[in-house]
Amino acid sequence: MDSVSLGLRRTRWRARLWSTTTRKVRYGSRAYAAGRTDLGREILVGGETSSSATSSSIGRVTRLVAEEGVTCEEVANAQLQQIHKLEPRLRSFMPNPLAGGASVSERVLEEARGLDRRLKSLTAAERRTRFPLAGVCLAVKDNICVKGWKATAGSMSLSDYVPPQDATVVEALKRKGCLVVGKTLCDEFGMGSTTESSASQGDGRAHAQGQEPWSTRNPWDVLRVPGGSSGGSAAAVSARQCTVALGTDTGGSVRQPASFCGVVGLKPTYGRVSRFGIIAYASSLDVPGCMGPTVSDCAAMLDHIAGQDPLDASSAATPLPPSLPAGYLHQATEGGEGARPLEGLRVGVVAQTMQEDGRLDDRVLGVMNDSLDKLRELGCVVEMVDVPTFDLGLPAYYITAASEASSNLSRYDGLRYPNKGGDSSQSKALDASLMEAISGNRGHLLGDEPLRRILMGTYTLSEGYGDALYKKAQVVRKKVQGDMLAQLGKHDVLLTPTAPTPAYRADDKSLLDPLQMYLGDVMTVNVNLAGFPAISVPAGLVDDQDGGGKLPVGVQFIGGPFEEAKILRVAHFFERSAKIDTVPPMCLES
Amino acid sequence: MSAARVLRSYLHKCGPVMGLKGRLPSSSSQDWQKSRPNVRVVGKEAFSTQAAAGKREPAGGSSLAKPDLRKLAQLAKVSLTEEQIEDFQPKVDRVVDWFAQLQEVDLEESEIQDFEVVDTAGRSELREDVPREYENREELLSQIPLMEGEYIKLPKTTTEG
Repeated sequence: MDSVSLGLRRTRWRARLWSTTTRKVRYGSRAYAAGRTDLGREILVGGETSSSATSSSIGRVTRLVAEEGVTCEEVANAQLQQIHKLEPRLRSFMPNPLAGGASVSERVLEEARGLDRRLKSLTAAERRTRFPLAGVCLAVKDNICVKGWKATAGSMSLSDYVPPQDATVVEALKRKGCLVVGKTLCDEFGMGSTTESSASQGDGRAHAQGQEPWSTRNPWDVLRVPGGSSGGSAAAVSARQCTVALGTDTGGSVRQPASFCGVVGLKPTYGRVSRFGIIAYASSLDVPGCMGPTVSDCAAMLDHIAGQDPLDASSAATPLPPSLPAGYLHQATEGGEGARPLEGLRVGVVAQTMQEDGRLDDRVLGVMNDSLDKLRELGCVVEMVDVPTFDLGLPAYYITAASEASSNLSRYDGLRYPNKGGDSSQSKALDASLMEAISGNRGHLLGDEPLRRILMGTYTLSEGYGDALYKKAQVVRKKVQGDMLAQLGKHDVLLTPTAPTPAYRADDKSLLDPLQMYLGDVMTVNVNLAGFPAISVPAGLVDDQDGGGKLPVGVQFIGGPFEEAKILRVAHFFERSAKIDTVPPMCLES
Repeated sequence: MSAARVLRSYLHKCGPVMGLKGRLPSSSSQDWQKSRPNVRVVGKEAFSTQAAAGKREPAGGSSLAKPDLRKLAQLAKVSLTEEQIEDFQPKVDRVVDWFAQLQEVDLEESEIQDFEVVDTAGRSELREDVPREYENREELLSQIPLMEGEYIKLPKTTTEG
């Protein structure tokens, strides 16, 4: 399309966005009252050039609110407009996430107005210290509890569950001024790599009845999946429906969708961030993760959520996270003005992930090779390293995850909650024994993938197999951790592709075989087994072989325990030099 | 928590179900108690006991027996439809065969006995064992559909089984 018609389309888009904004929102911003018509676009993606499209969203939005007089209500409204505009095609969000079917727009705008009132009564300095994230719109994965919003974890067994408390990570971000704008779709209980096994829209058996399942699509190509299990969060961030998002990463569930959708996904060290309020899948593997358009967004989020939580006994007391103002964001972005900001940094590329044995898509291999060149230009010393137990991590992971999941999901018996069958006034009895009632409820309420994993977990823990499978998996786990730690002793960070391929097609029948789906997680699971931090950064746009567009591909930097600052710094300068335009075309269409 | 303790507690929980109900065709509670292998020992004893029970055949090449979905469903307390069993069986078989590659890994027995899955150094201390009242008690109880006084009311079930 030529530049003239593109310019006209952009003007129409901006004008429409501005007109709806003025209709619904108090006309209060000084800078924009003078007739600048691009407030909506400024909030969502920043200025015209591609470099500003990759600048920190949190930085931009908080600056608009703190210094340019834009109200939180205006920011929230712009995000809600974007959500409504793209939801029919994208479906990142749970459709009825509030108790009693209350309106999300009204709730969000009300909270934004409340925040504006509080901000007005403070001085500028107080605003900066007490509400450093004022204006940031946060999407929360549906297995993380937000008070007053339903938390279904993508499952029918929790379809009406409204948590009475915020998760610690949510409470920490809200306290600093974030606004929750929605709950995003996820695979049921976090089990899946495509966000297709979410039982939302009420009936999880919709596709069994011949209807198309309600599942999230990839903003870069709506015929493809966003990845999983935090696919909704990744799609929402990518399409700029929110500023940043929270997800959970058990086997790559934040990093793989980040790669598929062209956003940054950070998995902190196990224990760095509290798991309180996160619906458990595998308790020794789950970690809450940050997703944002840029590395500095994830670093800024981590600054506010890292730390020990007395409510989570597995959260680490030591080492302490770096205290503000010299926190993760500062350490990741400060300095580095020279041409070679990462001079001397030793990068180890895991040789097992770069094999030309057909597992790795050629396009991903190409992006990896380009990335190695970029890292060398930045001053890094890049070497191939050997992690011999790398491939064993995947079966060890699935044995561990299935075993732990079979235990964690045993609480969903359908009797204590949701307890639809019990009406005391009529003393309605079930014509079944207790065990039959529980079994029947669980078979009905849990989806196919959780059922399969429960069965596999029961098998791996059962008599005679525990030693061969579960225990052996834990020893293999320890070996993988040891191998990676040995290499991290000789190198600052390890590098792998985040996923062997770009985003899958939604109608890819081979993924109906769970084993095929599991094999796609080979790059990410070892990090969870070891408990190390890792970050996925968009590294290139490759040709979408089916359509005419582009698909993002990410690379993964892995660090040693509690070395988030190091991987954030490498990722930040890599991102800055790669200059990938990570705004999908869908975002800018009128 | 070591895997041995995890396994023992799991076996302890499912033992009564397997034993008392007698739903498995050939194991009464006494047979089950006698044939239960020592969970600390890796190796042939575990598998030969199962072989002696004669209920299963190994799946294609691996030394792991084919998963019996009906029995697993009983243990896990999930009821599956026939369609689900038919659909799941090949998928679960393939995954279990794939798990079996861990059999190839040569490990010392000592490595299996003591391992630490998650480094517990630097984790939180235990809190004082002191009861406390929660200010948001009403909110915490708000999700319970049916209460009678201090009790959660459940649908009545029959007394058999």
